[in-house]
Amino acid sequence: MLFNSYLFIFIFLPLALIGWYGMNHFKAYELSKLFLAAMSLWFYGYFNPYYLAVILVSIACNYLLSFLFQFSHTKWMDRVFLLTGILFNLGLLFYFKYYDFFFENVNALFGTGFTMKNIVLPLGISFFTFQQLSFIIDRCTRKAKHYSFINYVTFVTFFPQLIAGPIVLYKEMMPQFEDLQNRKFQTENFAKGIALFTIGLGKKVLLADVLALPVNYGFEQTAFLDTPSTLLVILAYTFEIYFDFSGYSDMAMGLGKMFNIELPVNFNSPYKACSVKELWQRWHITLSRFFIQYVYIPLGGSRKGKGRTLFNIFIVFFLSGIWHGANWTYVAWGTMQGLLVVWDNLGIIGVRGNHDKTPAKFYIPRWLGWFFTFSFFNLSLYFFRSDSMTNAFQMFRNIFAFKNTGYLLKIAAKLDIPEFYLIKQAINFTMPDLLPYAYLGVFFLLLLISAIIITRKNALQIVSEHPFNTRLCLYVSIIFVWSVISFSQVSTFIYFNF
Amino acid sequence: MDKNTFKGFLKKFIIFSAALLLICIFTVILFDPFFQYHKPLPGLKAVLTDKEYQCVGSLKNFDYDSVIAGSSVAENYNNGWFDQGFQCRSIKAIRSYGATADLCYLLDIAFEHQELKYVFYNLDPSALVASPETTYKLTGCPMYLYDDNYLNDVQYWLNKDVLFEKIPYLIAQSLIGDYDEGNSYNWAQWKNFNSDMILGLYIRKPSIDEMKPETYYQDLLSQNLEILTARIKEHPETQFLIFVPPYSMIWWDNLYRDGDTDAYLYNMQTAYETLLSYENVTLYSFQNDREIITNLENYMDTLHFSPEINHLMCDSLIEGTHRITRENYLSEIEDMRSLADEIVTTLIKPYEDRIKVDIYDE
Repeated sequence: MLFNSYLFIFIFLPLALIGWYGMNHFKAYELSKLFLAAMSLWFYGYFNPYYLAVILVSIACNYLLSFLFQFSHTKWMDRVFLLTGILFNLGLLFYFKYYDFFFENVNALFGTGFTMKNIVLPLGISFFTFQQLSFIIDRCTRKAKHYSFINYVTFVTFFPQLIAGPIVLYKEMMPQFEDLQNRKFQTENFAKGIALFTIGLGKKVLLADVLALPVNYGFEQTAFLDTPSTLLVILAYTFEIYFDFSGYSDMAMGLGKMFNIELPVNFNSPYKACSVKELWQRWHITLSRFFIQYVYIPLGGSRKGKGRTLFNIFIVFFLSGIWHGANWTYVAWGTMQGLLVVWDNLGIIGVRGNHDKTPAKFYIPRWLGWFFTFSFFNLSLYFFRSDSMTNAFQMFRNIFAFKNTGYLLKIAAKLDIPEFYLIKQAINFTMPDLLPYAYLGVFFLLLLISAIIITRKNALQIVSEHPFNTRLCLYVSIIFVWSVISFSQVSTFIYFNF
Repeated sequence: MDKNTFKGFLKKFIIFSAALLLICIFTVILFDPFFQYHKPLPGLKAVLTDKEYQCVGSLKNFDYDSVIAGSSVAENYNNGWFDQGFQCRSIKAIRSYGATADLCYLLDIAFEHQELKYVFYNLDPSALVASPETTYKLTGCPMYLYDDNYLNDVQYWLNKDVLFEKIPYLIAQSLIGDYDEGNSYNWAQWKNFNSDMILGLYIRKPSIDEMKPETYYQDLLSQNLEILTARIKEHPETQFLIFVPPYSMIWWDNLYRDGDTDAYLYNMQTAYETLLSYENVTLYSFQNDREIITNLENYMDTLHFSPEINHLMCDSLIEGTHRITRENYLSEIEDMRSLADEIVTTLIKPYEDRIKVDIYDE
C-alpha cells in the first residue's frame, strides 16, 4: 500500500489509529501491538501477498537467532550465530536483489550460461534486512536483549518505516513501544504528525511526481537530448529524488508522531550542504548511521591512521552505492560519492565556516563550496538515474556536445498537468505558436519553486518552529486536498490500430 | 504553544479539509462529466470524447432506444444519421478493437437500462478471433466506473484531471464550442485520409506464410459467435443490424502474407450462416465493395476509413443495400475470395514501390 493512496488515507490509517488508541484506552496493551503488527502486515502484503511470506520468513529466522543467543555462553557460539545471521540476511538480500546482476556479470566474464531468475524484488527488503541485521549484531555483543515475539514483529513491521525507511534501530524503537505514556492520544503529536505527513505528501505528489514527467521522458531519450535539455533534466531529477525520498521520510515521521513514536530524522536540508561530506551528514542519515556503526567502525574507523580511515570511508560509500540497486550505475555513483568524500577528508580545500576536525590548507567561500557540492551531486545523479552505464555516459557526451536543438521544448511539453489546462487552452486559442514556450515557462517555474523550497526551512523545522495557527492550518489543508485529488488520473488510451 | 492550540489546529484541519473535499465531490457529482450518475445538466451538452470513461455511464443514464456498437471504425458515425434514417434515438457503445465480449458487455448494460429497438453492430473480422473474455481490466480501463461499487468512485470524485480538465472542457464545449452531440467519440477531425497515410503506415513483411487451414480459429470463432448470438436470442424484440466494415485492400494483402485469408473467409462464412438463422438479424457486408477498399484515398491506415465511408455505410443500412441474405451469402464469400486473390496478384502491384518492407521479418 502506498501512503499516497485513497485506501491508505481514508481507510487504513483511520482504522489503524482508532484500533491502536482504542485498544490502549482499554488497557489491552499486548493486543494493541498485535493489532498494529497485523495492520502493518496488511499494509505490506496489500500489493503482493507473496511479499508477506518473505518478510515473515525473515522475521522468524532473525527472531530464532535472537532466541538462540540466550543459550550462547561462549565467544565461539556467538560467532557462529552472528555469522549465520549475517549470511542469512545478506543471502536473502543477495538472492532477491542481486542474483540476476551477479550472474549476468559472471556470464559476461566467464562465458557461463547461468539463467536469470527475474525475481520480483520484495518491497523494502533492503530496509527491513538492515534493520534486523543491526539487531542481530547487537544481540551478539549483548547490547540488545531478547524481546517477546509480538514486540519484535511490531518493531520490524511498524508500517510508517517499513517500505522506505528510515532505517530504525531497536534501541530507539522498543522503549517507545513500551512507554505507556505513548499509548495515550496526544493532541500535540497528532497535530504535528498531520502537518509533517501532509508536507511530505505534498513534496511527493505535487512536486516529485510532476518533476518526474520531464525527467522520465528525458532519460528515455538520452540519445536525442541536447546540452540544455541534458542539464535541466538532471537538475529536475536532483529535485525530484530529494522531494520523493525526503517526502516519504516526512510522511513516515508524521505517521510515527500520530502514534506517538518518534522516528529518526533521515533528511536535514541536504542541498544546503557546502561540501559532499556535509551533504552525506544530511542525506539519508539513517543509512549513513548504519554503515558507520556496522561497517566503518568495525573496519577500524579513524583509529588506524589516515590512509586506512580514507579507505574505510570509501568502502562505506561503495557499499552504499550497491545497497541502492543492482546495477553498475549504482556502483559508479557510490564510487563517485566515496571519492568526493575522501577528497573532502584529505583536508586540502576546506569551506569557510565548516568546523572540520583537521584544518584545511586552503579555504573557499561557502557559496563556492555549495556550488561545487550541488553541481557534483547533480552530475553523479546521471549514474544514479540511468538504466545503464552507456546511457549515463551518453548524458555526459550530450553536455559536452554544446548543441542546442530545441529539445528542451519537447521535454517541457511533458508537463501537461491539469493545473495548467485552462491556461493552455487560452494560449491555444489566442497564440498557439507560444504554447511550447508556455510549457517551458511551467518547467522553469517548477524548478524555481523547488529551488526556493530547498533553501528554506525543512518540514521538520516548520513543524517544530512555526506556530500552529489558522494560516498554517489552511496551508496544510490545501496541500492535503490538492495532494489527494492528484492520486487519480484520467489516462489517454491511444490504440487506433485496433 | 499550549494544548488548545493543537486541538484548535486539529479541529480546523478537519473542518477545512472536509469542506474542500466535499466541494470537490459535490462539483464532480453535479457536473458528472463521465455521466456516472445522471444525464447532462440542463443547458449542458453530452460531450463524449473519452470512451473508456464515458461509455458505461452514458449507457446507464442517457435516454435512447438504439445502440451503435463497434470498434474505433464505428466512432466516426454521426448518431443523427441513424436517428433520422431509422426514426430512433441512438447512442454509441464503442470499444477499441471491438472484441465481441467487450461489445456485448456494453450491450448488456444498455439492455439493462433501456428497451432497444435497434442494435447497429459493427462486426470486425478480427472480433471473431478475439479473446472471449472482456479486456477492460487487462487494458487498464478505470474499473471503478464499470462496477456498481460507489466506494471506489472516490477515484472519480477526487480527481484533479476531472476537476481541472474534464469539467471545464464539458462546460466550454457546451456553452462556447460548437460540439455536435451526434459526433460522440469522433476522431476523424484530427486525421488525414489518403494513400500517403495508409502506405506510409503499412510495413509489409516480405515473406509469405503458409496458408492456415480454414478451421484454424474454430474454437475462438465458436465462442465469439455464442457470445453474440446469446444477446440476439435474449432480445427477440430488438432488431440487430450487423454489418462488416470495409477494410482496405492493404489489410487483405497483410492477411494473405500472414496466411490467414482462408481462415478469415471461413470465419465470415460461418458467422453469416449462424447470424442469418435469426429472424431479428439483418446482415450487411461492405467488405467486398471493390470501389471502397481498392481506393486507398479513403483510408488513414489499413483499416480506418474516412467518415464519408461511415456515412455511405449508414445510407446503405437505411436503403437496404449491401445486404447479405441466405440466398447470396455463399456467392458473396466467393466474390471476396476472388477479390482477395486479385488484390495480391494484381491490384496491389502499382503501390509496391511506395510500400515499406519489414526488414526485421524472419
